[in-house]
Amino acid sequence: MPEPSRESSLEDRKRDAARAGLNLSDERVAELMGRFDEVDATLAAIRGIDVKAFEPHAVFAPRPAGD
Amino acid sequence: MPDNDLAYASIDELAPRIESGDLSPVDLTQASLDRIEALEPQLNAFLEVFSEGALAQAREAEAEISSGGYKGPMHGITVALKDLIDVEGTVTTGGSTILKDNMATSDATITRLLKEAGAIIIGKAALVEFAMGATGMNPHYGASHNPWNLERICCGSSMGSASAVAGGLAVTAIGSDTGGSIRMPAAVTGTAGLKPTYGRVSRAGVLDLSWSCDHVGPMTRTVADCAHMMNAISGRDSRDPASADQPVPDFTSGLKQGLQGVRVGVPLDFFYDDIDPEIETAVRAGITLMEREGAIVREISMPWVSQGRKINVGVNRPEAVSVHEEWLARYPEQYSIEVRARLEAASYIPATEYIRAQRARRWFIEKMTEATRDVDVLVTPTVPIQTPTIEECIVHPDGNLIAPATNLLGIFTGVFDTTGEPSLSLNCGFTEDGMPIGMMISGKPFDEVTVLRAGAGFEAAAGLLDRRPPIA
Repeated sequence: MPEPSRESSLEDRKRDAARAGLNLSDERVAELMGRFDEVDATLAAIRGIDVKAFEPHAVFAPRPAGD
Repeated sequence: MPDNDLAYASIDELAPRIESGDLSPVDLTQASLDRIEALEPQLNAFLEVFSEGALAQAREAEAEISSGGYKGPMHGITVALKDLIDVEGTVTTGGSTILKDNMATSDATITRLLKEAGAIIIGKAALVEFAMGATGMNPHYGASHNPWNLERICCGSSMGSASAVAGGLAVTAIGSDTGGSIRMPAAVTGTAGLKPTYGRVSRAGVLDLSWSCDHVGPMTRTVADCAHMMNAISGRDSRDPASADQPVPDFTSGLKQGLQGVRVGVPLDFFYDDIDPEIETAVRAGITLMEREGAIVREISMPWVSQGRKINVGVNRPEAVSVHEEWLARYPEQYSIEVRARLEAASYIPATEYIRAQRARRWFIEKMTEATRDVDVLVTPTVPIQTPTIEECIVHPDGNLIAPATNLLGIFTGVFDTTGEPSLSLNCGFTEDGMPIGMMISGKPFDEVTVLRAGAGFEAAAGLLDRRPPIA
């Protein structure tokens, strides 16, 4: 079974999922706690990048080299 | 040519024969259909085969060619389309049961372009549910089996496309790549797969997974065949809001130029850390061969590069949740265990984190641009581990929700979905137990010509194309 979340409670996660429109049972959230942690780890790694100088480009378009 | 040779012939070998009338598109199509009938029970590469439609297209191609209307190298060539690409009047399932009745009312742009080039659409290739997964498993329709070893996965998500091409069931295929789904399957099946520059090939009429990371591209047995397909499918398309307005070159123009003077960068970081020793040996041998053929090889420090895959995930997961928002709320039980778990676990990611990932993406692109300023291509392994068995990738409701290989397979490929740069996987050798090893050649935005040149130069020097899977 997945490991319990290190960072958040089951209730926190259930509330987060509900905010996203998903009605997950306690059992389902418990199953997913390890997956939540993995997502957290990815987000934490990105949080370590200094992005102050960069704008988001939701519709992203690369440019030719030298452009 | 015996049927087995026909099944493994390249476009370069087939096209002159088709143009001259020596080989009928009908015979080539029938050969593909015969292979499908014989081998599909073992490979499970297709979700639907268009037997009658393909033969009708082939007869039309034959008539056009015999009356002087030869259209070019794709004319009469069989193509398998990943089943997230619309073909008018047929169902696009996306590998899901939710879309089992999703009838396409028009062709995707890429389908239309292939038809206009005279290609024969042979069928819809199997894929991971909604293209969301690296292992090539699909609990609804079954895994595709690897022609090199039927117990091994084809990787995902374009597993049917890879299985069909490697097994000689179709001359070519189309796949899609959001975190590596063209290149991982190409690597483990000994085929060539090109993720073009983001915006180079239209996504119109292709099911979305992640708008800003989705790429569509060719999967073939040779690098040159990728180039021929790119000539047919590339270009600006007003139906795709991210389509690039860039000049379209002749993608075959560099194929015969060899490796002399090509500047090859080899990352010092990440790509060669903790990878399977046989894979490292094969890729480094490949780089040595490229140098012997005239490439200028230099090592490049990029200690930040491991962030590329994390940014890829940080962007594509929230986009995927947005794509699936309604279905996930209404039909959660129709998703497979693994895909549902990944979507549900990503559902809580706040908007600020998504925006941060997109900002980090610009940071990453600038770092990559600066680090690769003095090279033409980067050469790396495609995947870090040997090809898992299908058994190892089955997930159970009371066990791991995600197969262990899922998070490992795409760690290198995802870097170039973050940058949007063109990235090719091709075969560079074999493991001791006979499984193909993939090498990845990645280049500058919109410079597929150099990537293909480097790939073709390596392929010619390596001489690996004659080796065929046991299923052949």
